[in-house]
Amino acid sequence: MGENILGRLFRLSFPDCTREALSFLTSYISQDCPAIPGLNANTEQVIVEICQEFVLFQSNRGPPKKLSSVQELNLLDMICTCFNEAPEKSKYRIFNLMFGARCNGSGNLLTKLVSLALSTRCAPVLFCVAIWMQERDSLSTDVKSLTHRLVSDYCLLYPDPSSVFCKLPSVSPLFACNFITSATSYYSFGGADSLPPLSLLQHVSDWVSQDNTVCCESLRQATIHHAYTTPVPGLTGWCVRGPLVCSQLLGKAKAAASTAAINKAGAESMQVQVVSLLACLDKLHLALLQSLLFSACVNLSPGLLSAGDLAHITHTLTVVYPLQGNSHAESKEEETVAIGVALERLAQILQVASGTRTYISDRGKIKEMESIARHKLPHNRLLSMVLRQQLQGNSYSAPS
Amino acid sequence: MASVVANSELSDVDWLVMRARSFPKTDPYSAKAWLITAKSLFPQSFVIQFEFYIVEKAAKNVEEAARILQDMLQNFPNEQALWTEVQSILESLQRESQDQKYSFLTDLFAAIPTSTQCGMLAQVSKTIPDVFERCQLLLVVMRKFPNLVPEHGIKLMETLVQEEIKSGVVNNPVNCYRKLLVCDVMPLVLEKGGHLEVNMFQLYLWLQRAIEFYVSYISQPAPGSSSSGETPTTSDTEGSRPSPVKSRSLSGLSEGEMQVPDPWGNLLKLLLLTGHRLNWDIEQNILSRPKEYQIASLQHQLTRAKASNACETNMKQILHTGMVLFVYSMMHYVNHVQVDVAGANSHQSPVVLLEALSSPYTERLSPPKAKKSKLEKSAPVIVPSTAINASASILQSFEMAVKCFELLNSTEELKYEFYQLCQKWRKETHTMMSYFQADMNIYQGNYGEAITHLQALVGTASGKTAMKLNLQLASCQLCLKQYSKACQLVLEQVETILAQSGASVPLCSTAAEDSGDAEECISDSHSSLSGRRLRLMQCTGAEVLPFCLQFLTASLRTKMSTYQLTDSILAHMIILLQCDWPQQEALFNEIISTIQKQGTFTYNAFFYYVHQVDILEEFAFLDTPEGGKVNLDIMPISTKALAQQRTVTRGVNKGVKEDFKAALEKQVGRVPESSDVLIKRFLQDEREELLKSFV
Repeated sequence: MGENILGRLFRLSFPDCTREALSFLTSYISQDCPAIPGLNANTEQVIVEICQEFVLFQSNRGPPKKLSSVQELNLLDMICTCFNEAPEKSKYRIFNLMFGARCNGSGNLLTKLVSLALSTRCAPVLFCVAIWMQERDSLSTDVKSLTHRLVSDYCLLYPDPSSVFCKLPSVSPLFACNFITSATSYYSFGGADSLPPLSLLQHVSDWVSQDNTVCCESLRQATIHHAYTTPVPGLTGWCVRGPLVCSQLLGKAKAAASTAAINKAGAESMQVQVVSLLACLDKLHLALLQSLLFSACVNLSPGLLSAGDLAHITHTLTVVYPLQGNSHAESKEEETVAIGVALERLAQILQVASGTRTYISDRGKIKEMESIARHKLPHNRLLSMVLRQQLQGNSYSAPS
Repeated sequence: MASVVANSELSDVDWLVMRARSFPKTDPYSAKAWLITAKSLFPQSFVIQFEFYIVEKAAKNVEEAARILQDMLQNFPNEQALWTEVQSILESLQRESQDQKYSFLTDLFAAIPTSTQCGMLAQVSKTIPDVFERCQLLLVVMRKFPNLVPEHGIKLMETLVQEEIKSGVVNNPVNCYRKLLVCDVMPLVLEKGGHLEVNMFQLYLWLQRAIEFYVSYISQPAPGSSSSGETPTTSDTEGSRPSPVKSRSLSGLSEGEMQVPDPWGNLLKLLLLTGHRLNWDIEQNILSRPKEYQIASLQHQLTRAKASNACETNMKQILHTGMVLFVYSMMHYVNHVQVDVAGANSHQSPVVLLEALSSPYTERLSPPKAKKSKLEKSAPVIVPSTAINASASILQSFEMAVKCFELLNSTEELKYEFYQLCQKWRKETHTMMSYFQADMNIYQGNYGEAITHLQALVGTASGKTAMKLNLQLASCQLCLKQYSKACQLVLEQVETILAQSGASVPLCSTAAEDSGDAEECISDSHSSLSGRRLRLMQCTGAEVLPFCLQFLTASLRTKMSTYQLTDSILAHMIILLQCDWPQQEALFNEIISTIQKQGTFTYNAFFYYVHQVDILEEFAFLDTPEGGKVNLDIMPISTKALAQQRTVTRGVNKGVKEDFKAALEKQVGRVPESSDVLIKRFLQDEREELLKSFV
């Protein structure tokens, strides 16, 4: 019968074969993968083959079938419908069958599927993609390329904020959460080469400030899907390094503008963009603190942020921080202010996070931070105050 | 950074607050981020949370500010600054201003859960030493937040009741506590209080307080003369009370605050709300109906309740509904009767309810006692003068008041309760009641009782009200056949009117004729129904003088077939008849035939007062053989006296006769003096003579 189904599907043409295949896969997976009568051993292989042949169109038997754009759209639509209609428990298993195992070439189809799911608000697909992102490392190539594609499609292509993106957290909070995590690792904000696009930063800061739960979504899934990452360390990195990186960029732009008059307009537009970035970071930082506060009053397992994350961020600061010897006095002054802001934000996030149950504390890491701050960074009263308190050991007392 | 160095002296907490404050208004995020951190660092610091609150308040974040405020109330219940803030929030609730600042604070309060609102209120009201101010605060807050009514409503009412008793002003129902209770709190609680833990007696007790208040409020003397002499009884309690509070207990509210715009409407509303609570059979939306409709509906209620079995519930309903309707209609009526006491409209003339004078050949003045049984069956007809505006509503009120009064006196139980309630009334109300009772007794034909009320009232009355009372007294006395007293009173009134307005007031006005006509009309249609008619007239010279003349004529006429009849009485009637000649021609004919029967007639002032040609001709005819050859001695100088002067035995009368004829002709030829002037002169000059008729 397994042969029968394959044979039957081969006799059908697109799109009927795909529709049949999807429906077969759905019912097969929903019935907890029963043994297919008449098929002795390789049930799983047959299933995979059906998926390869009729959904992903990566034939093992002949040359891959090339679908036209319209056919491809039709295919994506059928996949979305399939996810909408499949039983809750089966959705991710179907997804995993299609995109999970290996990702040779199906990445392109996945990106297109995500785009369609975003615009049609197909929450099941986005949810599955979010879990998929979570199960892979956010730094993995597949996830990175997906993130990159989405950012360029929705943040860079059009200057106006995308309505699809604006409402993302309400369509799929988990997807938004994991997308942020991935975006913060793709654009680390560690220097001029890793600046997040302004519109991305705007979207992210809007999401986080409008909904303080977005950052916790992946942590919520931690009990079901063991592997998870959270956007908080990445966002903390943005908020902390952001001001310093921005001030350095400004300094450089000014220096460039004063030496080479040709680039004056470019310097000015850079200045405008940097000011906007900084304003977004102000907002994002507060939203991050509020998200941490929120996580203090919900019952989640620890892991939103760890002392290790913060120590790491402190370390990255020292990489960014060394002042350029040739800076103007004015730039120097600005950089001093910026490093102050950076350290204060670090201190604030540490302080607020340490009062939450989701924070993973580590006295060693705090000591490490303290040491870095003392030796490699300028003195900051707030950071000293917070670190002192952390080291005094009353960091575990939950706020009233 | 520079500021950090400069502020290194500051404590950590103060430094954190200072840093949070250092951000410009354009950057609300950073300040908040600092405060979140500061709060996390020093969760026990009130200063930081308060600063947080200030920031949220400045940013007009209602919910955030409310949340922080609530947190602070929970965690820092002893912070003075916090309570100052709460107080200012509650104060802003008391302002009706459209100012954004206040409306924000109101929204803020609204965003706080009810239980905390209650806590805030309770706490703040504890800090207000003055109970009355505390109550006012509670009232204002409950008005804006009806969700607090169930929690605080009854308590507030009880406080007000207790405080009123404690302050000793309870003797004067128009005091600030009662006002707040009755006008403001009670309607709110009855309407918005949801399920109330009160029994029927409590509700009735409140209603009674409301009735007391409104009755006293409406009957209180015009503002200005009021508050000064009130409540001397407070002296015994004043020792224990601080003086500012004492002064409150007297007036409490300013004149303006003591004003109640629509007292009757409010009282009816309370009655109806109480009725709703007690499941009376009244429509749900009756409160939105006009007052007249409500009254009519209550009257129906009353009739129905009366008809059904008399249980205690019913009795209470009858008592209270009857009471409200009674005071409402009674006061409405008395306002027209007792004009100069009611204050504002002292230019108005009171209306007077009087026994109608029977015109000739209708019924004789009714003997009161004999007819009483018949009177009770059919109510007498009241004929209002056309000069009275809104006479229909006045009569309606009067009749309703009488009905309610009778109802409230119909059983011993009701009577007892009714008098218990009345006892708490102020002097002015009792006076009003007395005015009403006088009129009611006249209406019922109980002249003796009416006289008792009238005599008590006349002592303090003045002006037109005094005149009104005297006229009623006279009317009653006439009915009791106390003619001398009655006519004396009437003549006094005539004198007063003439002294005040002199010749300007016509004696025989058309108005009098009109009312006479109207009376005739109505008497035609009603004469078969009832023997008794009353008239309601306005106490103005124009209406009173003609009445007085009719009154005198009627009084004189009572002597007609008695042995007391004298020629002067006949002459006086003739003189008075001229006024509305030939209205009472029938009476005149009666007089002439009496004279013819007597064969003689002596009245030497005849030519001074009789000018009417028809009458003069009739007398000329009397002199002729066809007229009966009546021996007329009507020359200014008595023929008898003349005869004595001329000591001649024969032919004496001849000259006299000629004198009489000449005098008659002269009188006819003279351009007649207006009968008004003539009769006024007569009434003034011959007053003593007139009174002699009744000795």
